[in-house]
Amino acid sequence: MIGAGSDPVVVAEGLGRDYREGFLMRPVSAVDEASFSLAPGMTHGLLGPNGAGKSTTLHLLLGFIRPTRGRATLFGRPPCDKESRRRLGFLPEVFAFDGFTTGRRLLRRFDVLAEHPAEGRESRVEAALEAVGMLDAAARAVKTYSKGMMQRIGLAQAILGDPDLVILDEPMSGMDPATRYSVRELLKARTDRGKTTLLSSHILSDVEALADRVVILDRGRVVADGRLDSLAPSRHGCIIVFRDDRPERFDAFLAGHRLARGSAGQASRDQRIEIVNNAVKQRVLAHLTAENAEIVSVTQREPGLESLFLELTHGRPREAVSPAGDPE
Amino acid sequence: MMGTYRALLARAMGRLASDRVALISSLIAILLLALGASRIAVGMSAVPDDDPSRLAAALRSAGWEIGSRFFDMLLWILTIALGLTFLDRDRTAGTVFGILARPVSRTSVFLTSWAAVALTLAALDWVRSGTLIVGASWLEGRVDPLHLLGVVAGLTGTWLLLTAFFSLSALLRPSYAALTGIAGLYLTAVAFYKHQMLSGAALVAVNGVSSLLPLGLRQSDVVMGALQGTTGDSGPVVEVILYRISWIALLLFVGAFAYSRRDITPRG
Repeated sequence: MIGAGSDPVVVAEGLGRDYREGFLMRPVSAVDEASFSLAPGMTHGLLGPNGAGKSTTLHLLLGFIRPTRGRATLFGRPPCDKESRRRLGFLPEVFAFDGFTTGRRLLRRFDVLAEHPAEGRESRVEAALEAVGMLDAAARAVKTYSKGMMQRIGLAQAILGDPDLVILDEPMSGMDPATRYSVRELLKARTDRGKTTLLSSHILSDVEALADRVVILDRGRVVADGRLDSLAPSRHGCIIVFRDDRPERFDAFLAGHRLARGSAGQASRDQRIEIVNNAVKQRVLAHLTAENAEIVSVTQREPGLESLFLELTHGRPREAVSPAGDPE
Repeated sequence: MMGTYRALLARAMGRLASDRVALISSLIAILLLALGASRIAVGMSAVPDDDPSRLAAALRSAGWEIGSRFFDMLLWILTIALGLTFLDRDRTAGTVFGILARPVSRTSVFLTSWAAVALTLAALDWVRSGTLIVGASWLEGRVDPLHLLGVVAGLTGTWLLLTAFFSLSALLRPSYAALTGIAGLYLTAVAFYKHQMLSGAALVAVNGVSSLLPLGLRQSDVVMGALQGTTGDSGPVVEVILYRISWIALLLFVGAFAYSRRDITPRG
C-alpha cells in the first residue's frame, strides 16, 4: 500500500512552470516555487484570483504538463505513475464528455479506464449516479444535459469507486443551491471516511464550508498555507464610525477594550474604531450611544476567508455597510 | 490492459461516428462512388459481354482509374483533416482530461485514436475497393490475389498519409502541423517529378531531403498495376506494402513518443 498512514497525499516542492510569451519568447512564470503538502483525510482548498496559477498547479500535480522547476508527487510517486492514478479522481474546470454516449455508459467506461474490477461495476456506477442525483437522467445522451447536469455527471466520474484523492477544479460553478448543498454533504461524507479532497474554487463560501486547510496562490506563489481556523478567525469584525465634539473622552474606555480610535478621513471630524470581536462591538456601540455620540455607520467586515483572500491577493475587501443604528 | 484499449477504441469510434466531418465526407464519398459507378458502366458497355475476363479487366481498369479521380481526392482530404484535428479536438473540447487523469498511458490514447481513424478510413475505402473486388471476382470466377494486394497497398498509402499528419499533430500545434505536412507533401511531389523539374544543386538538395520522407507517389504505378491487373508480379506490391508499413510503424512510434511528452492543457 503506497502513501499509507499520515504520509502526505500530495507534495509540491519548489514547483515552478514557465511559459514563453510574445515574439521574443520571453519566459513568464505561471507558478513559481510553490511548495505545499496535502495531508490525508482532509479537504484542502486551493484558492487564488484569476491568473494566480491554480489551474497550472493542478495540471502540474496531475502530470498534464511538466514542471520547469521542482517536483510534485501523488501518493509518493510521480503524477503520471499508474499506481497513483488508480487512487485518483479528477474533475477539470474546462471539461466535456463525449456527447454521443449516455451518462450511465460514460461512467461504465470511466470505471474500466480506472482499472476497477469488473465485479461490482454496476453497483459502483449506480452509487456514483445516486450520489450526484443523476439516476433519473442516466439513460439520456450526455449531449442533452444542461450545464449543471454536466457538472454533476463530471463529479460522478470523479468520485467513481470512492478514490483516495479527488481533485476538483471549480466543481460547483454551474450548480443550483440545492445541488451545491448536496454536493457539499457528499464531500463532507468523503472526508469523514478519511478520503482526501483538493478543491479549487472561486466560490469562497463553498471552500470555507468544506475545507480544513487552504493554500492560497497569488501571481504563481503560495501566499498562505495552513488550517483555515488558524488563518482566518481574526478576520471577523466591523468598523464603527462615530461623530463627537470631544472624542478623546472615549479613549480610556476604548483602551480598556484594547481598542483605539483614528480619524475616518483627513477632511472629516468622524472617528473610526476597528473591532474584531462581535461581543466587544455591542459594548462599544452601547457605550457610544449612552454617551450621546452620533453613530455614523457600522461596517461589517466580510467574514473569514474572503477577507483573508482579498488581503493576501491585493484585492480590496468588499464592505457591507449597514445604516447607523442598525448594526446587525 | 486490453479492457483499457477496448474502452479507448470504442470511445474514439464513438467520437468519429458523431463527427460531422466524417459523416458528411462519408456521404459525399458514397455519392461520388455512385457517380463513378455510372461512368464505369458507360465504359464497360463498349466491351462484349460474352467474355467475362475482358469484362472484369474493363471493370478493374475503369473502376480504379475513375475511382482515383473521384474518390481518392476526397479520401485524402478527409485523411488530412482527421489526421490533423482528431487528437487536438479531444484537447480543445476538454474531453481528454478526464481520461488522462486515469491510469491510462498517453500512448494508448494516441494509438487508439489513430486506430479508430484508420479503421474508419479503411471502411470508407472498402466501399469502393470491396465493390470492385466483388464485381471483378464474380466476373472472373476467382479472387485475384494481386487485386487484393493492390487494395492493401492502396490502404497502407492512405494510412501512411494519416499517420504522417497524426504524428505531426502530436508533435506540433495544428497550424504548424498543417504547414509542415503540406510542405512535406509538396517536397514528396517535387521528389517524384524532380528529373522533369530540377537540375544541378536543386536536384541534389531535393535528393537529400526526400531521402528522409516516405515517398508514396513513387510506388503509385506499381499499386495501380496490381489494382488494374496490368502486371502479374506480386513482388513489387509486397515491397510497397512493407515499405509503407515500416514508415507507418516509425511515424507511430515518433507520434506516440511526442504525445506522451508534450503539455496537454485546455489552453495548449
